[in-house]
Amino acid sequence: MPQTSESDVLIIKNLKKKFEEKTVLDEVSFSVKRGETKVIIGPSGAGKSTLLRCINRLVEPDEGEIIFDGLNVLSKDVDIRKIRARIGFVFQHFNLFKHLTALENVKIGPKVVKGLSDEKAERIAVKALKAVHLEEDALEKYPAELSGGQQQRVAIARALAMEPDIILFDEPTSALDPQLAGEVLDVMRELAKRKVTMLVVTHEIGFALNAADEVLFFYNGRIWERGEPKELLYSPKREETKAFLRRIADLSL
Amino acid sequence: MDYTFILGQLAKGLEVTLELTIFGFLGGFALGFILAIARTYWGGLSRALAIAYIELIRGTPMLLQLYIIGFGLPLLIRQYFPDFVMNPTVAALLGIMLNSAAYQAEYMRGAFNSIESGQIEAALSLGMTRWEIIRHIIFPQAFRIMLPSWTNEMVYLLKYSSLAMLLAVPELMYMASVTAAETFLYAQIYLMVAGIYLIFATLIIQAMRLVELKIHIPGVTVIKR
Repeated sequence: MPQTSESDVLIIKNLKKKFEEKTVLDEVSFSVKRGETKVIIGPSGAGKSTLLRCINRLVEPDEGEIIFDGLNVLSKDVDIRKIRARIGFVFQHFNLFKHLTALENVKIGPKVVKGLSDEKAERIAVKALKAVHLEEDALEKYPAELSGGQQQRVAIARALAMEPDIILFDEPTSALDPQLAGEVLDVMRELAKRKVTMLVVTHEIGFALNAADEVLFFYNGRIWERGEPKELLYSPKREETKAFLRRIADLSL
Repeated sequence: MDYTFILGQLAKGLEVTLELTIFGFLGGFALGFILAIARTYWGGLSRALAIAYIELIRGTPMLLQLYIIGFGLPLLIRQYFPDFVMNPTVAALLGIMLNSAAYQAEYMRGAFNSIESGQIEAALSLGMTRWEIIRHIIFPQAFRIMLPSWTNEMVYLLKYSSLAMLLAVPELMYMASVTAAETFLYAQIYLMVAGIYLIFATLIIQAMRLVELKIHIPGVTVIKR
């Protein structure tokens, strides 16, 4: 069982999800503390993306509990939109709004969801875009005119501008070539250093090693093994973890 | 041959034709938008009603729809209000609106569905309501995507509003037929009318092309020069 404490932003207890007959999440329990970076690794189809989607209820889990900042996310009484506004989500394919410029993409959350004035929203957006080092001349460009790395950094800024309690990253660099992935990972490392709370699904072992407080290895919808990054990544105990890490290492050599 | 008289008659007809086209299009847009939203995003009864309406309109001739509204409906209403008189232009306009709404609803539905689910998920994740997503994310993109279909619909209405002549609405084709019968200048008058339709269709197409260029956003719409 996860230990619960005052500083837990997110607590997940015995989460279960089936798609038809296939179990994608099986008794998943863990928690994320404020300021912590937790990294989830594992083969595709292990339920990692589904887990993130359950947390802000883009997908409804079948059983279990999700407590976000003391609120029961799965209860019928909560306004899920208020919770979503406090949970950032960064997608594999960026999912920027195509008809809005980089600046407008970041502004729209504070403006429409939080109801801030145009001026205030713009100030917050500019600050968020600075934090992800978006080039000055890219502010007024549309997503189709930006590189993949720029698009993903705008997407991170869009999440940051909502001043969320936690940001969920769903394989944020999987759609990028290594150089562009590097820009995005640099930004994420800076966020980790600034103690932004993050839950990151990724295949980037390097990021897990130097930014994560804990690494969870997902296998067959379960947390198969977990631990300190160095311990888990350098001396995994279970066969499946070893096999997975070997495959990842082979790919990056 | 009194061409000032002929042109005067045709101008009167053109005015009615343009009214039918413009107001028919706008009314069709308003109703079509509601139908498209109902069909795409609302569930249950409203969705079923929207589908039934759209299929009813698309599955029957527009001329029949105009006859029902122009000749059938007034008889029904007169059973309860014996003094009721239906203005034929109003009847035609109503028919054109109701007809165009079904087609525009389908254009809009197609455009709504072409916005990838990823953007919707991103908007949901920010905490937007369904209506905020339609207004701020889906509609601005769908609007641009469906402009070419709208051009089509406007040109279509410009020409097919001529069916209103069969309700004795004094639009362009009606005025042309009457004037031709009076002057026996059938060939000249019908050729002039063809020219008038062609000119206005071209104007619509060129104006809409300008609008497409003006509000083009790379990645949302494609412009080939």
